[in-house]
Amino acid sequence: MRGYASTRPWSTRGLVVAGVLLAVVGLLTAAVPAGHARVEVTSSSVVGTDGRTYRATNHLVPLPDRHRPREWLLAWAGDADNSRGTDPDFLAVIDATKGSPTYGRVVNTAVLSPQVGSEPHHMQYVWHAGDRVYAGAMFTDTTFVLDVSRLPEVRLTGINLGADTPCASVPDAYWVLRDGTAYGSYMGGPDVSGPCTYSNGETRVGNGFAGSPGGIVRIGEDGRTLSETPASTPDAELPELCGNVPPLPRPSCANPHGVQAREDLDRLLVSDFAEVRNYLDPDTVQLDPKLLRTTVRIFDIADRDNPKLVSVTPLPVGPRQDEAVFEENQMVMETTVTNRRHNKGAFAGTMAGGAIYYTPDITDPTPEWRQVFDNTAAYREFDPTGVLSGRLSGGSWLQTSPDDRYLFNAVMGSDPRLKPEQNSGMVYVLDIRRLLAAGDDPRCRVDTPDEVTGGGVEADCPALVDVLPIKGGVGGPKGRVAVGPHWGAMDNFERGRDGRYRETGDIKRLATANYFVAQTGIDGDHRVCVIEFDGRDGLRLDESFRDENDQAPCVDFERASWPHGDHGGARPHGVLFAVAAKHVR
Amino acid sequence: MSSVVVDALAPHAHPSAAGDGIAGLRLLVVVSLVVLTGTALLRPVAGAGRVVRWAAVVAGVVVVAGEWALTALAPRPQHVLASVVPLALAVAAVVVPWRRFAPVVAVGVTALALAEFAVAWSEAEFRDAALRTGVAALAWFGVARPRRSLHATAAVLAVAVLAGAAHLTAVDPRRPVPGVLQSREVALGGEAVRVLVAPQRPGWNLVRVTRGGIAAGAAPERLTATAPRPGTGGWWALVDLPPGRGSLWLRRGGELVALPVDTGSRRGPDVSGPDGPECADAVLGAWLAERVAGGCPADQLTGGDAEALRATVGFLAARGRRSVTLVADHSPRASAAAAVVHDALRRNGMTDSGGPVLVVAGWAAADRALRDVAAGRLPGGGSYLAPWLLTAPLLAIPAAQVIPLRQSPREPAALAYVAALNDRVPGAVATPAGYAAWRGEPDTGPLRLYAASLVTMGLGTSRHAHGGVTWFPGGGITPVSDGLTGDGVGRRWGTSRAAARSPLRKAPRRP
Repeated sequence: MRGYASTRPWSTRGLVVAGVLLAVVGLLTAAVPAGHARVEVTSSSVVGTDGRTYRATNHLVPLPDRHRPREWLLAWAGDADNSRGTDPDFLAVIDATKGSPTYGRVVNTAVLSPQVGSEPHHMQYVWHAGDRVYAGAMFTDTTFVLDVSRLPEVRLTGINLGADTPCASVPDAYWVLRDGTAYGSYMGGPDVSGPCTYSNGETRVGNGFAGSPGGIVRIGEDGRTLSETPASTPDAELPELCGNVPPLPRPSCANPHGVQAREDLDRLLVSDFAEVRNYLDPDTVQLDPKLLRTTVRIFDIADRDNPKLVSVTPLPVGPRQDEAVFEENQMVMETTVTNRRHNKGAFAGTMAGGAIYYTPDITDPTPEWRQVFDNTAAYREFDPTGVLSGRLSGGSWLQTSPDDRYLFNAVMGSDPRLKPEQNSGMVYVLDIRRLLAAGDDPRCRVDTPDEVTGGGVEADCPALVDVLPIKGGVGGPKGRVAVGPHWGAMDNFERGRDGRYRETGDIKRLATANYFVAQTGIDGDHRVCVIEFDGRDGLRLDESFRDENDQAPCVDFERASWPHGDHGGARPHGVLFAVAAKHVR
Repeated sequence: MSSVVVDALAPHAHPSAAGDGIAGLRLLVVVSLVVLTGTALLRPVAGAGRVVRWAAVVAGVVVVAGEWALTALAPRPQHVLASVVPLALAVAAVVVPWRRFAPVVAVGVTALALAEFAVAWSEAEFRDAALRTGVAALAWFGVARPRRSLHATAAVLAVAVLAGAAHLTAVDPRRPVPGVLQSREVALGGEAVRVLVAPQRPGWNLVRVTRGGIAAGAAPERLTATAPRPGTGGWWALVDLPPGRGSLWLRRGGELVALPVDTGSRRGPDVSGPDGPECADAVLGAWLAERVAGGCPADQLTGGDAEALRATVGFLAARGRRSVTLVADHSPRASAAAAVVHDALRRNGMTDSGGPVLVVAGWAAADRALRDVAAGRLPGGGSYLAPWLLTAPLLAIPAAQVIPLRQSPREPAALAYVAALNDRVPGAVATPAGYAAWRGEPDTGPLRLYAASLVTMGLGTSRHAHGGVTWFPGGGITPVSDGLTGDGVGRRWGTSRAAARSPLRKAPRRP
């Protein structure tokens, strides 16, 4: 047996004791890994109409070649694991310059304060050089107006608060006009139940915040409300289709979500989604199809401050013969216009229905909408089992390419009746040239079961170019059920020989974000991906657009640390490509 | 410090994760305790080789640290010295070269444990410290050279520590504090169920559970089925508990479990009436802030709430309304509020004869009224709520709610309350009663009207929504007015503000 005498010097043992104690205390009190050690902090602020100061605070990560022209991907994100309730919402600026050594790196987070938990939602669909960015926050009924001319730095130039739009609530998306102002689609009704008089002098009786009828708000570059216009007709709308809770004296389906415009045609389109605060019959507590929407609205915007409602058209039911709430025409999430001067058509896509509709002429006061595609046909490309279908597939971002050759559609894959392992999101591309070439008299119409699964048989029907399954990790971060992309954006820029960027109609890249709205139960794995596109080769995930931390493809917003600190995971909703003013022609 | 351990054991704050972590930790502590005490007891017949010494000391460290971690999971915070000092003493037994002095140190640490135990009669926190110090003393006995004179001391200490620490560990580290609200998690029917007992005083208590199909009572043969209460979350039962220590029995299906309770000797606020849940939430809010609750909120109308009601009536008058539909109940607060509203109606030339619904009742009656508004049975143009009705279950009813508040629930103070609530009572609903009791003082700031509504509803692949720390998950509570004066006038109501705009820049900027 060995004796008890120690052979180690006292000083060593003392150090060991101190080390052990420090380790214990350290382990118990340790903070999460530190964020970026060095960031440049700048801020800008505006005073809201409530007298409070609102601020955008940049946290700019040093870049080795800061003055090199770059393209940026903006992602409007909210906090995801808000353990104290104080983690901020922010606009992430990601290096989207293909070939850059910092490709995929988050180089700035512009924190928007003091609001928290605002549920960042959409920005505009496409950013054009010189435009402000309009970024909406659903839960706080707020629109932020941001100057991105000095990217990666972002400046706050205006804010539109809930009380600035008393006749409308819950902003969804924006369409920026050539003069820099924007139309916002506001899904919800007036802040306070009862009559509300809009800026055009018309009055509607609404059933309150997040109810009906929604409105169209024109917002200036300084954030002020330029006009508020009712999205509803003066009279009762389609009483057999439109319900409201509490009931309105004149029922309305006006809950605009998607919004796009053709200024050359003086037309603005919005698609109605649902009375967002409630889809359930208050007595039966069952899904009520009269609270989900099937309508598309077209406004004459010759007077930009006084849009005049021209038509309210319900989309037709398709051939699937589902329950009413799952029919092809349910929950018209998006609408997208064609772009070239000789085309006058537009598309609409449905979330619960999982179908795409088309009308050839939006200047027609009585437009005819027809189904031209079912998401089921895209699913068949990679799901031979036939489990996945359009119904409840979560059709989302829908966008025509600027050259009117292609139609991009992001689908979440959010059928609650399927196991998470079975669901899958996707992005697919349709070739719409023949459909548009058919002019005012297209023949395409999906009206048989075979066309649901195989695409329309008429020669002018959209042709499926390619499908890219995007399936977030099932069981995802913190047990969330991951889904595919809800939102996306086209990269509408190309780099010239002089190194500067210019707009292009030839789309080579898309960006997508795997998140919808957590409280709906459709969350996602919070990744922002870049997809490469070529008309012949189709869609391909850009695996060089990698997360700076785990080095996996796509930027993961589930991370501990951001340039603005150790605030944990975030949920990216809207995405948008943009370029600094001095680097774009 | 405790939150780190809680996070480590329950990284997602899901009840089952915490439960599994606690069970595993308890098992580890008990095994280590057996090793440690066994070593001390067997020293007369066992050798004192390196392995034995290391086993004793490592077991001592595990027991001290594990006990601290288990205590940290309890609702009562522990002083850091109650853990760090014993832990340091236990660690020192192996790394400090005082082997020849080990018996002296062991006896000294035993004396310290006895001193702490003596203090523990008056201050419960020292009880845990005494046990942990005793464990550290055993570690020193474990490394000491075997001496007959130490055997008796070591053996007595080992038995005492074994009994005390085993009780502390195996029974439950989260013992009820006499007369103080209890919130804890139990495994029932294969699921983790959060149980709230408020106020945990002799007499009528409210028991709230987070799962349906559970019956609760003071005895297995006298169980009351829990049931939802309008305007609240969870399932509730009224249980009459005797003074002092006892058990609350919970049955789900064929499974029966007993939850230790200790009601103390003093009676608490009366939670037996229809406003009992709100009163229980006031007790909960005070408990979160470690203070004693005052009376029940429904017992009286505060001056601030009276002013808010007057301002609301003024707002309606400015909006051109000539009458309202007042919804009250029989509580003292509602009666006083009804009088305030009637007086304000008179002053504004209005009547209580139809129109927008103005609710000054408690949660239960408010729930009924709001459902009637949603279904169109109470028409008239939306609903205006008294400030005490700002709770998610009431706001989730689609009834076009508007409510006067002095602070946004998104302000840091309110979010700190919600965070504290989520930490200590996961799944609980934020309420004005709880917030006021937690804050300990009334809200200040100008009165504004806020619109409140759900903005999203469950649609998709999971019912498992993660909303983070927010007063109203899935909803918006948004200011829709400027500051209200006493008569409610602050701006032109119901008219777009766009009319006052400045001219636009007309030149097109983009081709």
